[in-house]
Amino acid sequence: MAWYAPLRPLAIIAISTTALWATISNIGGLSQSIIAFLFTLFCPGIAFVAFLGITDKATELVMAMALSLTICGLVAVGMVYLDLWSPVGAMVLISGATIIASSLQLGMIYRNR
Amino acid sequence: MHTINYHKTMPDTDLHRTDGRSIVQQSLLGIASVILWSISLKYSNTATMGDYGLLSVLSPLYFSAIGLLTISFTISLSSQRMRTIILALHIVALIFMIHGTPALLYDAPRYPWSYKHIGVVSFIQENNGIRFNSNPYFNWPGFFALFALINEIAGLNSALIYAAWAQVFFNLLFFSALLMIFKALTNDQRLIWTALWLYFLTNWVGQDYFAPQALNYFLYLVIIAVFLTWFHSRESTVFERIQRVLPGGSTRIRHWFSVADARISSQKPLYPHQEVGIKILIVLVAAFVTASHQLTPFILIGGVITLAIFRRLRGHVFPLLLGVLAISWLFFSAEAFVDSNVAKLFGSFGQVSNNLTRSVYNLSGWQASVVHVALASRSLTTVICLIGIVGALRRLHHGIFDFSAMLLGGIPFVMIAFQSYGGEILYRTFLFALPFVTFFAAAAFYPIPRVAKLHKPSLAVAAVSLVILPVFLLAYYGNELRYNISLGEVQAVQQLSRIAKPGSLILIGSANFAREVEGFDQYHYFPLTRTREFFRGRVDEQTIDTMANRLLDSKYPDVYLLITRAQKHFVRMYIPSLGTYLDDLEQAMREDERFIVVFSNADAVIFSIRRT
Repeated sequence: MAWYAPLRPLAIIAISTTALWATISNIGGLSQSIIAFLFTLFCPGIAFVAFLGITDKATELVMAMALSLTICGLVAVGMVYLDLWSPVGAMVLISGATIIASSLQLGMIYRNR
Repeated sequence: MHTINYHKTMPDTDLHRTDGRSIVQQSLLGIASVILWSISLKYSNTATMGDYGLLSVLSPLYFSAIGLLTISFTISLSSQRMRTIILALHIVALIFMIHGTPALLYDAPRYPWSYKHIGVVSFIQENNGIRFNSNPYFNWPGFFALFALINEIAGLNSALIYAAWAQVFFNLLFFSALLMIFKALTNDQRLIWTALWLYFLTNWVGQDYFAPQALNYFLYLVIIAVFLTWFHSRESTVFERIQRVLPGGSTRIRHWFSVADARISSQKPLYPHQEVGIKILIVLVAAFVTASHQLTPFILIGGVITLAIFRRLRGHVFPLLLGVLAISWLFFSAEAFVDSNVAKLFGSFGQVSNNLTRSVYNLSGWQASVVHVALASRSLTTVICLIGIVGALRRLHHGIFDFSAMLLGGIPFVMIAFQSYGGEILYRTFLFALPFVTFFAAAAFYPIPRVAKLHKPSLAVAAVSLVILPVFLLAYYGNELRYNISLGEVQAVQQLSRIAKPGSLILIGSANFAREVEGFDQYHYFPLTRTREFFRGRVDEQTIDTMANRLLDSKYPDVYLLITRAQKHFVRMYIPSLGTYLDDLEQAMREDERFIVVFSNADAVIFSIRRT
């Protein structure tokens, strides 16, 4: 296992936590926008696709982006149809799941060492 | 399968040193072209835009830059030490040069119809949800709900701030998904990168702006890529049956069938947990596509069913699952839309000729520049399809039968039999077929992997690209007078949504404006181009009296007239005989005391009437 293997789940946890904090406290400005776009485009997808063990990194990234947008989109559609629109709630749900998945990934990396 | 063996031509000790030098050499021209492009933007002034859109204002440096990038790309392609990272950077540079240029030159997002999508996103943010009515945007809300959520997370109250960059963003996403598809179809790197290059050089359709189609096209490409990569099958039972009924049984056809899809590169076999995981991913993505777009799920189902029928797909549950998802959505979640649009949805079923005719416009009566743009797009489509046919034949000649790619490239055309899609079906068909068309077009230059005489096909790619390039730029940038919406026009619509009561009637010069960027689903719109007085062709006292009566219509809480710069351009371009009508009308109304100018700037004016 490469020394840098834990960096990816750690980065995902860091971005997800920051995005959740930024949404709850509504810090505003460019930094919040950048964190939000980074989170919705990459984080949930990378956290879950990591479990698939795809060896080709480019393929893994494409699937992660598709899954990220899908997860965020499905949560948003669900809120719209259930008349429960709550961006903070959605962020708690998505970032929570992302952080849990990345933590599990991290645990697996350390167990395999 | 031939592969390039660097060690045959280069001693190990020289490898690293030459690799580094090679990367620098291959990058230099590309870097120069990007610098040239950046400088060219300073010398391109959209304020003086003429009939040929951006082509009339772009600095000659721009054309030099994009030409230089083409040459640089083909030089990299011809190198024995071809580096995919360099080719990838060339494609990224091409995307920025084509799609980043309008984003950098304009002060507001391109395409009038993108504003309605921005408006729907804002609507969800303002109302914490959608209205359950027959509006198609509310019946397939996936894209809008997603971006409303992104805006909320990002602390933004409108997508207007970033929508201008949607084309760059989506094309970069397409690039990643197309790379995955082409890597599944072949492991010939030159074929892969030429196909990618040709794709971005021929996709003139403009379905990459801030719209559900762009996002869903990306997701469609990913699903197809996943199928080709992990769930592809080469069962030959269908071919054996076909061979049995073939008269005489040609040896060559038998050979093709025996090698069908032999070049599809299979990844490592999946472990059961991986297979389950990827299947869940496909179902989730397909479910979101179903909730986001009317057309894409059906093109996806068409592709998947076709692959399954010809035993090109492992896992026959996919077509059934995707079909159930799409039909369920149509009859349960989108019930309100289906109920009120049955004729629109199913009325054109089987009317191939009618559906085709609705997409191919009659060019007579249009301004000459618009006709040239339409002819350029048609020529480009024809040429790339013809090159694609040549490529497919060359592959067959070399004993390579890309059957799955042929099926996936052909199946979108079947959609023409089902729908006219508001006169857009031919454009959408081309969009969905294009990845496979460009794959075969690239195969015209690289039918088989080459290890020697690399300069010949690269020269041909350069020559064809340099011929295609001006035609593409004309097709893509030629109608910018109509597509470019200024910030002043956007501000006028925003002002209108502040002053007009819900349910008001908004009279518009033509439908070509930043419609509903704010106040989505609140107003009734009526274009003057549908009125009798417009086709009388002159502005006189009678016209002004009619306009006064329209503005006094008591059926609505308020009535306003909005005239914008892009509306005037639209009339000039498509009804040149009445080209000055909106200017004359505006002038006459400004001079008539019955009318009040509620808002006015250099690009737009809003009128109402004095009520006594």
